[in-house]
Amino acid sequence: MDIDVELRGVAMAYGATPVLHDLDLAVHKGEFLSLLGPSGCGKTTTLNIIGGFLTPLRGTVTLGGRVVNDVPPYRRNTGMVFQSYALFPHMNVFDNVAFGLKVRRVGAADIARRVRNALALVQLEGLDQRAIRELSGGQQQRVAIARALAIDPLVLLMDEPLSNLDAQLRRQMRVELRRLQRQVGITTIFVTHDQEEALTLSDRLVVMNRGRIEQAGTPIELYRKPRTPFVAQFLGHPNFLFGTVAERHGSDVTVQVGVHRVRATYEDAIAGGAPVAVVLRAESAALHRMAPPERPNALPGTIAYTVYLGTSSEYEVRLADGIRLRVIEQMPSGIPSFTEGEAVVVSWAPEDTIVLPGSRESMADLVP
Amino acid sequence: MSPRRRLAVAGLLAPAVVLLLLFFVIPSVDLFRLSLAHMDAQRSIHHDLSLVNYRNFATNPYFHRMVWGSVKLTLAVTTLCLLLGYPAAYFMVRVRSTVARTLLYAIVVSPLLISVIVRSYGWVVLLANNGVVNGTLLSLGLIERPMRMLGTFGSVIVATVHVLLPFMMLPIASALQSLDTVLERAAQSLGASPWQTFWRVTLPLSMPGVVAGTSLVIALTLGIYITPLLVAGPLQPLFAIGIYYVTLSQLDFPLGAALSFVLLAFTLVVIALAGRLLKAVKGSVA
Repeated sequence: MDIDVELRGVAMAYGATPVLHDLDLAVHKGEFLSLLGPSGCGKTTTLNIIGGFLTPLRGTVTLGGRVVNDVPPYRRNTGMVFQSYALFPHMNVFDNVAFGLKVRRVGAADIARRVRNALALVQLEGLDQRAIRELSGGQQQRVAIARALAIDPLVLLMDEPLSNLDAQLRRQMRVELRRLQRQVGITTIFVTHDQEEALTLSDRLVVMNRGRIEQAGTPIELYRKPRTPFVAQFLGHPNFLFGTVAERHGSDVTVQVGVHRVRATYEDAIAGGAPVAVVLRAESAALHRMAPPERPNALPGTIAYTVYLGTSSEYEVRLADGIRLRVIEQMPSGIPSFTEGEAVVVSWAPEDTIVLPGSRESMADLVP
Repeated sequence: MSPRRRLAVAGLLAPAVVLLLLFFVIPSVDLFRLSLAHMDAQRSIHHDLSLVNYRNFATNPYFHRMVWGSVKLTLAVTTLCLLLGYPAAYFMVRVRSTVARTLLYAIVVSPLLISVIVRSYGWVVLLANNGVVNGTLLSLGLIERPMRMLGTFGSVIVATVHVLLPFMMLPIASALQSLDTVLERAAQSLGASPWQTFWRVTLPLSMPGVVAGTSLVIALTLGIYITPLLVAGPLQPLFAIGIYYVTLSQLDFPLGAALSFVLLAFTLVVIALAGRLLKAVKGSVA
């Protein structure tokens, strides 16, 4: 597959503070790639290095097969969409979208046609003479995308573009962004701290933490098979159960967690007695009034509190030895099945767990 | 508006209104009435509502030369202040180091803290025949005898630019300060070179500061008299020096008052024209 954007050994620091440690990243042609991580993880810095607004300390940046380390931003042909949209307030919609074409000295007729096409893509036909301040936030967002697409860039760079929209509009724009990207087929790098955004939009997502890539892969890979405690902790709503490996038969592992024996699956080699964390997603666990006969993992406890979320309910279950487990129940009917103080059994399938080698101490900064 | 709110608004406005009324509006009306009086050959003033002073201004070539001198000075000073002030203000706002920025602001503002007379005398010391500039050039052997600088129109331009530069820089700096630099990055990501970015984004968006600074400098240059008086003497053909001369040397208060109103009207017209011009420039850029 063709590679449109490539970073090799890219390092960056602000003064004495390192922000990127020898980053390697390749983005394929037409791919929608998300950089996901908490603030300060280096994702926006990475985007700015690709856009040419920051010069890395070391390493090479390649765009469309050309090393661009010494190429200024205005010769890189990257379309950037900013969190604040950065629309020019002294120009109307047409002039904003036409900006990149005017500075390239494209002919007037061509400009008119390409602006019309770009506005049609984002479904803003007929608004070309509007002033920017007359547009809603969602419309401004669309103008920003149209403006970046109008120059027919090699790659579309988006820096948290949806975070200034209200929740409902954000969901709507998410779907639309995906449709748009598929339709145009443009290579896209999307920076976000919102896991849901990253999971829904991306072909591939890259989880970053403290200037390093923790893991890269498809949304399903990262969600189902996180390789590091950070990724496991960052995606979904995980419970961490710390213990030691008690038994192992093939990929079936039994882990001693306090007084409980927990069954899980683990493909790689691991020694008996080794400290591990069994990660159980709140979404993967189920609650029962009585122990289900066929489930290998069934722990009794009581419901400490519930959080009603409409289509789902979140419960915290306290086991007799003090371990707390979060469980999310999907509720098509909108009616929760359990109330606070009720005695329940938490169960889950061994294959829905993730086993990560390491002790509680080694993950202390991730798990409260 | 509720009566309470109306009372509050009136209370907030009252002090400023009273102050302006007492010390600006009433004296102005009084001065305008004085401009309609006239002084006879025996130097006695007749309050007879005549337009003789205005007619005098319209027909006397001495005053026309004065107006032309002020127009030339205003053009030169405003242009120089813009050309010197904009880049300096830009640098002042954009410099990374806070220490440097604070220092620059201090340097720009500090002349305003010193009396204009002291500052203008500084130029006398610099530009005199036996002054610092001539002394340096002589000792370097670049010139053989002192150049006459003091008293020339050039010296008036230089000294006036120095006195008025802060009034150009501060509004421009404030406009640039409020400009979000992400807009410039957006322009560059769309392919605009730094120069194109400046012309199409930075300059148009800092235009309010340019208009404010230009208006201030025009108004102040048209009315300036202390600085030209000190570096070039009372014979320099400038509008404000003319008013000064007519009022304080000839003691023709009615004529001085009439000239003041002509200058006021003239200043308003020039500022309006300058505003139009700058807006047209902005329109053609964006």
